[in-house]
Amino acid sequence: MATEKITSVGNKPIAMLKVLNPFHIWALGVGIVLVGEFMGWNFTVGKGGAYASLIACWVIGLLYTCVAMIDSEVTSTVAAAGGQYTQAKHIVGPLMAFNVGLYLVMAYTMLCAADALVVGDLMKSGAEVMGYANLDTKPFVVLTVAFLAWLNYRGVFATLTLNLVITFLAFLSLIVLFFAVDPLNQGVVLQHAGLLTDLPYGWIGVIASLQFGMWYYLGIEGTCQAAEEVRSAGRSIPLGTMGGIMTLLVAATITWFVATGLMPWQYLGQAVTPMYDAATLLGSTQLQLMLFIATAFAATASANGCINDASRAWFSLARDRYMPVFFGAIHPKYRTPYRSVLFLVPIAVSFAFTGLLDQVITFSILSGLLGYTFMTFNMIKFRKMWPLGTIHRGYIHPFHPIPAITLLTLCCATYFATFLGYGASLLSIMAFYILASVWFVLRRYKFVKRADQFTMPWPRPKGY
Amino acid sequence: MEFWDILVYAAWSASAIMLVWMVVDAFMISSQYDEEYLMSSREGGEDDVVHGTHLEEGNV
Amino acid sequence: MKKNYTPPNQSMFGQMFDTILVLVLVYASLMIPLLFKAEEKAEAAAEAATHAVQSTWESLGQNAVQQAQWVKLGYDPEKAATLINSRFDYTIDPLMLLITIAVVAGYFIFMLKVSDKQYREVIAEKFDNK
Repeated sequence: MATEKITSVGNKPIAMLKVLNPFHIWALGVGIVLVGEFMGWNFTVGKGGAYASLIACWVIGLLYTCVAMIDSEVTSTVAAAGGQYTQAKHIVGPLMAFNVGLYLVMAYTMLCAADALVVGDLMKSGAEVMGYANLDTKPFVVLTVAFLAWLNYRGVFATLTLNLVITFLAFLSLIVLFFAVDPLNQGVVLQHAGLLTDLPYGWIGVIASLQFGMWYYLGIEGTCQAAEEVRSAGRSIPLGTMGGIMTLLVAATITWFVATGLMPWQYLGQAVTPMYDAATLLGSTQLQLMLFIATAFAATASANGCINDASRAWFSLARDRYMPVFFGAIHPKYRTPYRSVLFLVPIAVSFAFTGLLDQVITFSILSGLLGYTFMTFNMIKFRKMWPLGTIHRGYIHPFHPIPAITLLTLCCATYFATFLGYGASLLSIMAFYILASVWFVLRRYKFVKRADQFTMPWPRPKGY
Repeated sequence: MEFWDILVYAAWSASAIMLVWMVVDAFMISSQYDEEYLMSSREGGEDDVVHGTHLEEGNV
Repeated sequence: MKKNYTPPNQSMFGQMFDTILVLVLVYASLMIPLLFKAEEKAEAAAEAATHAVQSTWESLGQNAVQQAQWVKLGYDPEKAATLINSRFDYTIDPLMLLITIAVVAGYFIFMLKVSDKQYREVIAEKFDNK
């Protein structure tokens, strides 16, 4: 190219566009999670029976309420892309931040792969209903990821507006399904009396089911990744996140109620698309079609949000040189972290093609869980190092330190739940994070500018 | 059935077109803009107002 | 006053190498549990072979309502038996539990220690060397 390269535009550093509002934040949070009500949550039933699943739904709901409270306070103060990663960098330290960044990238990329697989499987079962057996799912998995990456590449506003529409429609379908089963007249459609059994594994099954109970809500904390793209982040993010948690508590309870009233727990515990099966059982073609579309929408919305969040996290790691700096670029026209978006496409597709769905889901859940464990001591340190009044907080959560302690207790219980039945996966995933940490300390950290990592205009922390 | 075979090919080609478009665009940007500028974003964006003003600066 | 640390610039090759290394680590940790699983599956298959008796809804302990829903889902007792009889094993191996606790706790302690050391460096550079 003969012409000079453009070195600056209007003498300002490049930045992402601030175009989002609280509804987009709600759509980003709920969009990622809602697919969990269409598939995945029911593995709690397999691990402990129907009642265990309901207990897990509420206990883990409490865990996430703590997460949302804690996260809202820190995010309303540390508003930057990268979310919890940036929090860790300012409050705990570089190695922790590196690990948190990896949790985010891994949790979201793997979740994205799982979502794309669901879209592929759905196309296949749709083709079967219409009389075409053995449809190849691969092109639809790739198409899902490629299309959503393309949207993400071209701008955040269109990406999350799409999420708002399809998430809302998917949520609506759950409400419609709830009314379609005639919820007030037991025995007409719903058969809870005949189908609900005692706890098949006893109380240990209840604890074991906490692991997949996270699937009811996993990813809601991703809302703070949008901090650099939302108008007045300090207000919008807590608002969108809290609204999201409430939506999900309602959706999760409805889902449990409908599904357990229609299917024996042994079937439900291993079903791939339980809500679609529920609609099939009702014998109405319209409902079946509605749930088919809603499941596809929910999976798409989730994959979409995951690409959005994972690319922001990867971008932030690169911007601080924790990861290769090449990925820290922003597109001058679309203002998105375009190289990170592009990089995640082959990775998400390859995860999907390994065929290790349960392994990928476990990795995703555990990465999330490690992140919540981090939040507990992050919160304690945050209040200690900058006590109330020393810096401006957009939101202050009540009853500190009870939410942090509750969260830590529930995290420990969930580690134990993962140990029950998935112990080998747990150890192998821990091995990954330990090796990555050692690698970071020995090799990666030397490329990082020390003082530049601390970007907040805060006073010196107490005790340092 | 013919329809599903066509759909499979359509899905493959649509994915390929979008991926190639993104890769080409990324290369074009790299050749048109200076790396320094592309990497110049700062954490927290432009308005530092949202994340905290010093309330009691000397109070450390 | 101490001088600020100036990091080296990383070559394009080094950047690529680091990216690939992380990916290799991820794939490895996804694959390793499969080795354990293959063993378990072989055991389960051997056990299932010994249990191969004719199943009826009664022998599977399904009441009338449950039977009706199974049938609607397209299952006969034979097919449903594999789902009903596959159960998790929640017996706890105390040694494995101790190892797991040690690994998780050790990981966090190691990380907090190293992070704290690195963090003090960051704070010192940021607030002392202005």
